[in-house]
Amino acid sequence: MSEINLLPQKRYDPAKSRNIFLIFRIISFTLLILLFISSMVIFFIKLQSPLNSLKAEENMIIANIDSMKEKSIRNFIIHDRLLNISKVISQRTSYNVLVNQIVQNTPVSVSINSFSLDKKAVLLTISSSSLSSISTFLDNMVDLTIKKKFFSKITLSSLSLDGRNGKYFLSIEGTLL
Amino acid sequence: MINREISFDETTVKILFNKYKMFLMPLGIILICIIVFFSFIVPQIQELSSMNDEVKAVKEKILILRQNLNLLSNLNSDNQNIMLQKVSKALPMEKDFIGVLNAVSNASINAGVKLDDFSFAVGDLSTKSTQVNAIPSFKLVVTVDGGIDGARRFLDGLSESSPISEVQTVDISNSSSTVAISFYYRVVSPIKIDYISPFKSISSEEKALIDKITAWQLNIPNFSPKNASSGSILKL
Repeated sequence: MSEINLLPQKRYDPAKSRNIFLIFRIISFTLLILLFISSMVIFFIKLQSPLNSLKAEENMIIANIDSMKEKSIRNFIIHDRLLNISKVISQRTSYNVLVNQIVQNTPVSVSINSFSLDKKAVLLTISSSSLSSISTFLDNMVDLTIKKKFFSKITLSSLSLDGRNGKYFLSIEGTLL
Repeated sequence: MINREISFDETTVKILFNKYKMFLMPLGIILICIIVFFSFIVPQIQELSSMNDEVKAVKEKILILRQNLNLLSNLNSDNQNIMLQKVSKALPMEKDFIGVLNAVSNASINAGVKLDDFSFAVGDLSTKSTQVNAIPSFKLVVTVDGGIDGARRFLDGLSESSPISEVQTVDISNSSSTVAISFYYRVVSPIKIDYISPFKSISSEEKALIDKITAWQLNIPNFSPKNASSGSILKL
């Protein structure tokens, strides 16, 4: 037959309770000290922060730059003008170079009768008493097109002969790149 | 099932209070410490971190500002004025008709050709096709006396003159050439200078461009006699 124990198994132990109390006191005291130390550390770090002095320095330099406003405006305008000048120079079509190229590729015995060019095309009429010179000129133009120097396409518009002075006339149209 | 009922009467509470009252104070302190830590210390630490970031940003700003200040201090106002004059002559702030006439006249003198008729399209702002990134221009149509050789020299001269220009069309016939030219200008818009962004000093490319413009403005011959004579083969 089993027995039933109605009395509590553990008895109140004042010494153990005192120990627990001591541990709680130490923890609370330590936390209090840590809190104080961290507050002080944060306070001193904030006090030592160079932010205010840096902002004062920043304002001082800005005031100095502001006193040289004219110079900064002139500097800005010079850069802006130079940028736009270089844009125009780099993007404009160099007609003088194109005309030079065509002239250089024109045989001595060939005369240029009319020359018209715009952004897209060149219309050229030449004349010569020699058909072989006209052929050389055409070869040179085709060469310029193949090398993709200026033209993307060359079209032969007309080839005629003036019987009175024995001159051949050639009209070509070159589409610019 | 066992029905376990616990009743807290006044006597029980008193017994419990007397038994645990010594723990109340340390527990209260621990609780207050935890509350203070999370509501004050943690935000302060976060603030310190953002403050550090701000210090870094301000230091960087100061560095740029100092460089800008040094650059401006080293700039000579007289040199700046001379450069401004040169670049403004090349790209005027308004339609510079006198400058344009001088440029055309100088190009024709250098080319050895005579100017015939010319006409300005004064009120006509250039169309999109004649603009380079929205730099306004106005058109001048000029007829020069001379064939392809003269026109070639005239175009050579014009490409190296101030104000800067762009040839739009060229029609060359036996005795005269008609050239349509766009002359560029740029109005100064209200300037708001940002001190925080680094100022630029004149780079070597820009210096070279200024030298080039100066040479044009001093009217240094831009084509050699050899080039000029190479066109003499043409019989116009």
